[in-house]
Amino acid sequence: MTLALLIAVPALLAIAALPLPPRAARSVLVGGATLHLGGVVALWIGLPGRGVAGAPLRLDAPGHLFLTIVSGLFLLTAVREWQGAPRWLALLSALSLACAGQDLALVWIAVAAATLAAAAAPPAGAPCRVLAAVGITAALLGTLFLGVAASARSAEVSLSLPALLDAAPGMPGAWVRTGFALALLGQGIQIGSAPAPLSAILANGALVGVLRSFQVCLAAGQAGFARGLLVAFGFAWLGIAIARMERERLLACAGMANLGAISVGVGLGGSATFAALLHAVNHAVAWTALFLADDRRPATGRLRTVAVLAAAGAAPFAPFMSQLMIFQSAVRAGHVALGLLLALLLALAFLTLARAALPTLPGSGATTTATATADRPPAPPTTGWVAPLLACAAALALGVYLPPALSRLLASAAGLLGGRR
Amino acid sequence: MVLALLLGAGAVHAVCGALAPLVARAPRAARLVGAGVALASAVGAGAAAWALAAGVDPAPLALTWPLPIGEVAVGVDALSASFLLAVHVVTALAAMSGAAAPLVAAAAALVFLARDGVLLLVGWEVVSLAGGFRGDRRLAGLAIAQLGTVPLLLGFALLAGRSGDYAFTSFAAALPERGLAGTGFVLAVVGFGAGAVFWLVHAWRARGRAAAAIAAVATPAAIYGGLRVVGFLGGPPSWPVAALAGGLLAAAALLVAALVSRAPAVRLAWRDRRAPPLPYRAPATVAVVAAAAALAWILGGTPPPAAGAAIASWSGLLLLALALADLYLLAASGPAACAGALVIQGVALAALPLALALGPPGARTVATAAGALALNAAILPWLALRALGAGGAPLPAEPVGRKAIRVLVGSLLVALWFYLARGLVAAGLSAVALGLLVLASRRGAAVRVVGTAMLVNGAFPFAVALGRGELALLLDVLAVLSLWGIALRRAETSTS
Repeated sequence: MTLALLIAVPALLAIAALPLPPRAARSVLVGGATLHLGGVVALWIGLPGRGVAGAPLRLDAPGHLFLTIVSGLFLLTAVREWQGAPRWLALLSALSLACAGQDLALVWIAVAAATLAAAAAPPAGAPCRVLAAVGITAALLGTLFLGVAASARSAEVSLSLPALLDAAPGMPGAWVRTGFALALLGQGIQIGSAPAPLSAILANGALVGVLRSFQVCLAAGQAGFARGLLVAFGFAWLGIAIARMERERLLACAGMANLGAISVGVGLGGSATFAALLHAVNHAVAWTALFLADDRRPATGRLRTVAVLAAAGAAPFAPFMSQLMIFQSAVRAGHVALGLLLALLLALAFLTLARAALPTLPGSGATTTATATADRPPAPPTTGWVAPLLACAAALALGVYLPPALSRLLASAAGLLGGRR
Repeated sequence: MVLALLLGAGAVHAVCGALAPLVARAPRAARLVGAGVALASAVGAGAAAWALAAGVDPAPLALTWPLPIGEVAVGVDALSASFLLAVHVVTALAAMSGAAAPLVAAAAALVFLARDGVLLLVGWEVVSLAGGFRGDRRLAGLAIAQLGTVPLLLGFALLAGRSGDYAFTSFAAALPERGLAGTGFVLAVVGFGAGAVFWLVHAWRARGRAAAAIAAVATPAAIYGGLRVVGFLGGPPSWPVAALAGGLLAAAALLVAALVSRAPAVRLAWRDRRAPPLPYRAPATVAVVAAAAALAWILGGTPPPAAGAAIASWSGLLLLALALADLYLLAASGPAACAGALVIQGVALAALPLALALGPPGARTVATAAGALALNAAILPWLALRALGAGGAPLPAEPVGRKAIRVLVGSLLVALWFYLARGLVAAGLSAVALGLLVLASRRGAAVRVVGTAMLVNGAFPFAVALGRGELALLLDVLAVLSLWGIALRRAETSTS
């Protein structure tokens, strides 16, 4: 029941916000986001309503983890948003569905809806929408291929996750491999098609879709292929983020680099899976700090430097610790070369991010942005320094302390994804 | 009690660093508070050292850490306490003159007190990042700080992969008692050694007192890290004796330099909040390190060295310094930077025969070392400085990409030579190769002086390997005679 409300209430609010003037719509947006986070927190505290086994909506450990990340990220980014409240609320509803859906078709629909909502946001042009369409198509093909693989044994085709996991041991390998590759590619393109603040939220929802297909691959005995593909994709994402890092694309590229690290971690398996899921949490917190501190005012200048360091993965912030854990797991599992490559790429990502973000560094084009601000659209409302400071403090705290409840959830999610604590 | 005192000092530093931006509008009060805190920490560290000397043996402290990696394990021994005291004194002096760096001091305290690899890495990362941020070339500083941590990360991860966790006691137990000590160990030593050389050069070149103060903290931290890792091998190392001698030398050089020439310049710089002039910075940093090492020796009462491993590690570090300075010369552009790197090379070369001597060095060895110190560490760098224009005009600007390619090619050459050969021969060959690379790839007559000096320095390890160090000195004299003309002509043309 709670779960259904978490999906339905933002959708209803989105419809309700359509005719409202921007200021009122923004209040609805912030109110809806707060309600949503309240519901998610209630689920943590122990409110029933996570769904029963076999139902199309059920919150398992990975879903719960990413629903929490999406909800928290959403509230903190929505605070600064003036325009497009209905679109934002629709995105929240769709991503909640993606996290809670136990049916691959449902997850695909949800992620596709979220992608369309995000790709229609103002800064994105026609190319983004084309890209989104391509990604959605590829993801659909991937999902269907998994369905075809499942139909090899039984005539009745079901795309529900439990049914797929049951049927997995007898699936033909080629279909599963192709399906997973297409799903991964499609979700990756969908993440890339969204403009900056939305892409970080969307990435977490799309990641759930990828992880669901990954679960099927594991059950079908295609672990080696799926892991290799995830690692390759992770490095590709890291490389793209490093190559494209610029002042204007900072938030999107920071998100992409960390998505790469998460993907590599899940691909490596073992304790790296736990570390990668922890990194998803840590990075969401640090990214929020970066987003909130990124308002081009001198008052938050020092805070912004701290936020850049946190988001880039400098010690002693939480992303550093989780990156170190991924690296350590890789080395301990014998993948020394992969670990070294990861460490080097992360160091490069740090440098490009610092170069792009800190105006005092050479080559960051501080003067050009100063002149360009004259004909920019009006800046989004600022959030003062309290919110970014709190986010930075949270990023620091997670680096030294892991709440036991979160640790248990991460361990159980890692267990479902073929890893361990 | 001792440990709590030291941890408290570090924590207060960290809080001060975190609050510093808030009191930026009241600089006088901030400076007073900063200096007070730094002084109090220095006194606390002194008290801790005194307690250690009196025979108090503080129990290490270990807390369980909810993260599944590393643990919060801290402890203090003579080595830690001495470095802490030295760094706190430097920080207090810097804070009194308005160049406080409390966050760096706190992170350095974490480095010194950590008894766990992850904790040490976190502290070191903060120290090097802060230094990279403060430097005059921030991006390059950050790049070196980040990429320099990679060998450390890999080294510690390899060690932990073997020992099961990151605790220092496990590291020590995992290393074999004799023979080769594992790739992880070597990587960790190389990482800290490279850090020490980098920060020493940085101390030499730093502009502004804050940067100089950070370099003066970061250099001891890197050296401490290297010593701590070498300590995993077990057995008392021979470093305190050599460090004591080096420290006395450096302090004497500092004193002489201050007395002879530019005492007013020092005072002026101090008043105007600039970095102290060139000749004072690096010796001062060396003196800090040496004082810490000597104190550790006195506190710990370590017996004389058990030759073998310690000597091998010493000469290895010297050869590493030689190679790193060569690589640095491939990219350096300021005259002072080039000369500084040549001085470091010269000092490393002079120490080489002493480090290789089994037992007490003979008169010939000492003479060779003294000659190298005079020729390679003083006259050749001075000539290079003259040739490049002591006024400070940098070499013609070059695109960064070309520098990067040159350094990459240089690194590959060094790796190739160390793969093909071992020890002294490999170091000599790589130094010669890099000298040729400088001669071939950099423009300007003045750079030829630097390249030739690198070639000459490369010949020195060969001669030492053959036991004929005096031949190398002869080559030095010939090189000085032939370069003299270039250097002086250059100086004349630049003045006319």
